[in-house]
Amino acid sequence: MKYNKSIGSKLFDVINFLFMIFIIIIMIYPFIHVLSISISDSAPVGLGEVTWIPKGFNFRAYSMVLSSNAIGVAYKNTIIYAGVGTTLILLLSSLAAYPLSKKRFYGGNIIAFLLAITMIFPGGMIPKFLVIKTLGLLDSRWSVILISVSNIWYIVLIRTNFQALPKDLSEAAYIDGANDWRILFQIYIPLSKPILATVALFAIVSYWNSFFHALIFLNDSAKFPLQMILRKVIMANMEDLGLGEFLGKGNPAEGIGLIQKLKMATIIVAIGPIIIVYPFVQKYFVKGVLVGSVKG
Amino acid sequence: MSSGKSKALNIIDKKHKKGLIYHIKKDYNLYLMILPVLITFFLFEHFPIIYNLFIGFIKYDLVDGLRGSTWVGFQNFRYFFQDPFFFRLIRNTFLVGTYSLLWGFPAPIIFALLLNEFEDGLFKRFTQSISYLPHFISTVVIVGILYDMFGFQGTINTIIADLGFEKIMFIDNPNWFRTLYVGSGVWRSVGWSSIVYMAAISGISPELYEAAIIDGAGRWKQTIYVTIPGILPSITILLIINMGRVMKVGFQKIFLMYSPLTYEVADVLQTYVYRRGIIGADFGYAGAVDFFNALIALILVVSANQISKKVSGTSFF
Repeated sequence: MKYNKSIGSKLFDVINFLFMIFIIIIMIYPFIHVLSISISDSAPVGLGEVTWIPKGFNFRAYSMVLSSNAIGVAYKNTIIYAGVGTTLILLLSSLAAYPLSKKRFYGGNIIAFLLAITMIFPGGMIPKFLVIKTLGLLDSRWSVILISVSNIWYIVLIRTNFQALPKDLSEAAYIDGANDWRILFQIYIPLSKPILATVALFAIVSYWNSFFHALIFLNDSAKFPLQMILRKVIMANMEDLGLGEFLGKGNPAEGIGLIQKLKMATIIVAIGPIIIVYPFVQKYFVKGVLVGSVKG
Repeated sequence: MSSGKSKALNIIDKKHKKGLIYHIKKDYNLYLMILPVLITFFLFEHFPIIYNLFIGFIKYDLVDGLRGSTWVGFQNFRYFFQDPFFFRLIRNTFLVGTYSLLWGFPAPIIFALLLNEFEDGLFKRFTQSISYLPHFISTVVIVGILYDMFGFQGTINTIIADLGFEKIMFIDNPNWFRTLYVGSGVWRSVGWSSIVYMAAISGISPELYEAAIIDGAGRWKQTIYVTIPGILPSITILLIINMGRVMKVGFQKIFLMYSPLTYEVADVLQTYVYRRGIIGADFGYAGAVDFFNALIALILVVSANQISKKVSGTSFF
């Protein structure tokens, strides 16, 4: 659009630009703040002097966090949940998307309708809890994994993708004697890698960040995922973290600072993978939402 | 084809109308493929929905489980309506949900409109990417950062003190709870939620803009007469969906942010369901509260949908 901008228009551009800079700052600042605290010296942290530039360098919090048993176990758990869960999601959603994309699938409309109902009537906390209980899955790793597998949105995404593939492909394969399984796994899925990557990314992030299901289904702390441990660390005070000794000894600001540093370091360790991977995969997420919301 | 012949063919077709059994035998692979999803959905989605319908009418027996439970009709609901916390729960759920909608709904729209004023380029894409980031951070982390920044020793209070004012007690303060809750919610979702609107804006035909320019419309008029009407369908549908969610204030963030000190403003229906049901194991009662919550949400969505149909013709269903 080429037209002469009035002074008011140019002024608006400047203000808009500044406003966006402001937005960028408030989006990024909290993370910089957390990172700075985690690598600063303890005393300045305790005195509240660290806002966004680190004061001094001290990685003691990181060595404590990374060598912590509880965090290691929680990390391992989260990776297991995300890995197994995402694999199941990819498998089951693709398996379901294939028949639903075929016109000859008798009753497909009814099934699609039944699945779509779950979007409008969500199950609720208590019934899902009771179902898990009845299945004997309370306090088992499978509860956290399976509860998130039934997600209509992923099926819709993959089905849309399958429907967009040229019909000649499957027809030609059919004529050559291939059955549906081979068509799905040897033709459709390889051709759907981008959408599968999108689904995988959404699923991984969802599992990685999940807290609620672990909270209500799991009791055994050896099975706790990252977010549960994170929660404990964030809410902890001195005695909980076994640092009660600091209260009497030496510089109290150091003690307070160390607590904060530990909390911040744990946060960084928990969100680190996501932030590092984010710039590379961000476009998949956006595309996925666009396709999903149009079709949904 | 003569009509006689096609009529005959139709009659023959109807005689041999293919039933379900025929199709299952023919395409049994397809049915096998969808079976796992049917099983998981039934177990973890449909079964809970069915459960939801009658759990509120039962007094759950802890020893014998469902078998030993007794049907108590509307007793749970009656107790709930007489519960001393009833009014507080409804009020808190309503206020938190409504404030979230009031601030959280327009923000992405305004953000999209403002962002749209930039030419496509590195800065625009960079700002967008940054704005999506908070959406991928878990609620636990967000609350953790919130508590740190707004704590008594936190950054915000340090700035306040440096400016010469008295420090403010943000955390565990009933007066600030809603602000913190809604504010952090907007921070988290403004970027991600704006994606839909950005997409809608990009779908507006450039000819409309050209016509407006020819008619002498400046940027402001263009926005009002072209851009906003162009995204109005998206706004309407999303508004309907979000109005239904007003009373469905989610459990997680409240749970992570509240404490007995702030129950008075923070305790919502879902957190009460958690305390009475998951912790207290009074599944019947908690189920009734949960059912009540879902019912209100459903009524709100349907009402919003009907109103929208009458007013603007667009509707979700």
